[in-house]
Amino acid sequence: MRTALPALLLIALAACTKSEVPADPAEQARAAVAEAEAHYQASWEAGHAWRATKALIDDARAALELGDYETAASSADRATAMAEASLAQAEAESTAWRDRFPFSS
Amino acid sequence: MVRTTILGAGLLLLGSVSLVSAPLASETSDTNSGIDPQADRQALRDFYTQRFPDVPLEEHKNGVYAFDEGAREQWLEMEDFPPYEIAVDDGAELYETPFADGKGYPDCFGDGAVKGRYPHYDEVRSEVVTLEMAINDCRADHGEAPLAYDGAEITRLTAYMAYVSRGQIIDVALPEGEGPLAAYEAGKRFYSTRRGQLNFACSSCHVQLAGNRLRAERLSASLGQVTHWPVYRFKWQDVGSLHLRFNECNSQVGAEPFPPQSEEYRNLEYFLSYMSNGLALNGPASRK
Repeated sequence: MRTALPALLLIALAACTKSEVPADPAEQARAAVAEAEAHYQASWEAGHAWRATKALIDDARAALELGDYETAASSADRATAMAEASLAQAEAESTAWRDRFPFSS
Repeated sequence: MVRTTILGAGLLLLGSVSLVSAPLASETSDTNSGIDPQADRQALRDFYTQRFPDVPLEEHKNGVYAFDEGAREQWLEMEDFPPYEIAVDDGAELYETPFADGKGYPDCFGDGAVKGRYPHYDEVRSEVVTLEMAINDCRADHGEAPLAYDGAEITRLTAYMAYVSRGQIIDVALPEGEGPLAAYEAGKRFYSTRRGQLNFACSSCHVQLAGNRLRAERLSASLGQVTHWPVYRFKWQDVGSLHLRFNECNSQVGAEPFPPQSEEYRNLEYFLSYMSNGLALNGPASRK
């Protein structure tokens, strides 16, 4: 079973290597989408990806294509937050499941 | 997001309620790993005996129809003209159709009544092997391309093979040794792990809330969940596999599902099958 730890390390590494926030709205939006995609990938590798995260990333990509950078960045930020929640779930569940079977959940 | 948080908090509270006493000790407990499939199975059986005191354990092979009288009557009437019949007939035809090399499925599986042998842990391959995998192995041995695991052809084949396997008793070998125990534990972990935006585990619905209603639907018990596949679901308007149902359950709680026959779902099938040891195979079946 996958654990969230390697995924969290990947995100930490990405955060360390991230350059300064670009001033250009298009660049900001692209950076936000890239960050969301990295978080989503980490949640997938942890076995805890959420469908809503993917949907938000798809929305962000579509807005980026249309040049709607504000919407793209907004959707991407929401996707990142959601992926962080799913990674927190993965971390909590890495031990919580043991107390659950078969009596409660 | 607020709604999700509230729902998650509610489920966490729900999850904190302990329902029954501790599991029984097993004489064959694997003290090295701490993994004890026999004790798990006995504890689950005890749990459902307490939860459904009027339902014999073997009745759970019929899912919610074991304890929902109204739904059971409708289901039995539908069984007069079973909607999976066409799939069984199609599967029989496919089963008897020779491969390009002149051989066919009967050379691999005899009369096809082999569903009781799957899933099992294959020590050589170091993984759980399901009937669907064995079908594709048979095809590969005879130079045929593999069937898509989510396709109609393999589901029709398994519908036929399930039909001729009816009455066989599930008898998954006790997982022993590193590989089988790891696969079993992975399946158990998957079943017990909350996932998706709704923060549900398989066990949330089918252990803790078994027998209750989720909107208009009654929730079945874990025991018997593997006995009757593939299933004609009226929602699908077709027969579908157990792994398609796993996929749907994961999707319903907002989790990204895994592919059919993925390691995750095969381990889950292995765990659930061991839990259902002793129940009779009764597939294919129909469900709402």
